[in-house]
Amino acid sequence: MRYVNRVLVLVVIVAILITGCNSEPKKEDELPKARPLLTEAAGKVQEADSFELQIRVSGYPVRISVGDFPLPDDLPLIFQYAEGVFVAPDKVQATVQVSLGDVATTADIVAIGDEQYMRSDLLTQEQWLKQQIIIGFNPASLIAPEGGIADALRAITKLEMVGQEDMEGLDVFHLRGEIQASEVYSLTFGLIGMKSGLLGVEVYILVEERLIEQVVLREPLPEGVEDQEPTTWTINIMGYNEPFSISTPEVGATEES
Amino acid sequence: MLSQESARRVSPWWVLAIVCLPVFIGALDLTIISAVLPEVIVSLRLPANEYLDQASWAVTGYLLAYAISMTFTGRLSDLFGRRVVYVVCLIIFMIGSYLVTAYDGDLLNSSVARFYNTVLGERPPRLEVRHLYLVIVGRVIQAFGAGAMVPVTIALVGDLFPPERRARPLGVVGAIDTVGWVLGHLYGGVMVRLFGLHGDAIVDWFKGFGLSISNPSWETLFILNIPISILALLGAWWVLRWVQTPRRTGRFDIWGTLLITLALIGLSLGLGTSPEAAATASSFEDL
Repeated sequence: MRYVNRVLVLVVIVAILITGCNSEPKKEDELPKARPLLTEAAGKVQEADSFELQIRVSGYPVRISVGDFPLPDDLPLIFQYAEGVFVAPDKVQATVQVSLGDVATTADIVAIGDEQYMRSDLLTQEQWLKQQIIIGFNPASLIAPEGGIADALRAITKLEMVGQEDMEGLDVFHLRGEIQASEVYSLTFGLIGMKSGLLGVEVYILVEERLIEQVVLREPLPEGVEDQEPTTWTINIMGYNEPFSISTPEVGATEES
Repeated sequence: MLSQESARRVSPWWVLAIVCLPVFIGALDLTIISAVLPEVIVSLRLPANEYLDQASWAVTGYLLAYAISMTFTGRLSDLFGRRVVYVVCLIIFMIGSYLVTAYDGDLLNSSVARFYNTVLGERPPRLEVRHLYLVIVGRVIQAFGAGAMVPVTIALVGDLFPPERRARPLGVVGAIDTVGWVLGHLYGGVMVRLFGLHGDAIVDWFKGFGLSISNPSWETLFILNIPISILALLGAWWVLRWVQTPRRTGRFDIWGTLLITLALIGLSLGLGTSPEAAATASSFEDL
């Protein structure tokens, strides 16, 4: 009897697995239209009181300059990763990971309106400095009706619905299109190398919540560069309307003080 | 004991020499990572100052799993036979060695992300951190196999040698294990330095034989375990068939194993935590 029970349990597990594997993708006419879906999801970004943002770069390196800090040409500062919080209307707190040669290091950045502050063990000896890190950046631009994230998403052309997919356990709609490099300033904090030209873009929207989950931008290689993977920007937006708070750092203070 | 026919074919010292090779490699891997850890963090594109504590679990995790595995696998070999347990443990060690280098595999990474999204209900860590976690998991799996081979080899000494002649082979097993972890750090450091200085020359040397390999790195040290372990596995499978394992009766002490495992994990977490954190932590997660 014990073995019969075991066999029954096994049969049930196999049946569940087979059912799971056979779940057919939705037909095209059952899927929402790409443009209204993207407009709805982009609207939720613009209306959000706060959200978290993660930006990851892979492939051909993205060189950046940090304010007025002098850096040698043969040892460029390479952007690798950033994660941060935006609080409406104009506050951003982010941790940015950059590499200098083989050494990766992080810098904490706070931007409130036009003022920017930075703290890094490598560049500022862990002290908060008031410094223009990204020249001309104002967090309000992230949700600005013109040039903000939502506006950038609405500017996607040749938009098409790829389908409903399982993205690492999340149920998402997958959209694909193209976007002008000049439109993605807010999505990449102005770090994108291309100033003009078209980029391939993939957008993933959560099925239930209709919220933007991920945007993937593919930047073509610069002229003359071969044998390298193109730069891929993977931008995740999450934590919509969570109660984050950002305060002005005390200039000259370290974490301990 | 070796059967009379087999005793004529193979010396117990030969059997011991063959089964001690993976013991040495497993012990070498105990400390090899401490020399290459900075290299690992750099190649994973993580800032060392922030992730050194987490990365140190590649060392601690191995030690812990090694110690836990040693506590019960000797008994398993009593129940299921030395040959089967030894070979299975060696295969586990090989799988672990491979996984340490396969941290950037899409399937593994998306599985981790899926686990976070569906089981834990929280957002997965960034890709580079997932890579680090996978290296640590690979190390733990490696250690389960490596640690197991020590008690099984010691038990084999009991099978191969009469009581009055066991002291010397037991000393040899202990010495090989110790020499392995003493040399591990040195071996790891020397090899990574060698790869850094002469990586291109090594690639060119292989090209001379028509073989195309990528530049050697810290991962090469773990990949090297695999062919050595395959040779040891074939040798052990062949020589251990002559060894008669006395059939033991009784049961496996699951509760005892579980308790000692939890005790070792608890001790390790406790000792590894800074006094400040221990004083302020309100849960295991805080530690």
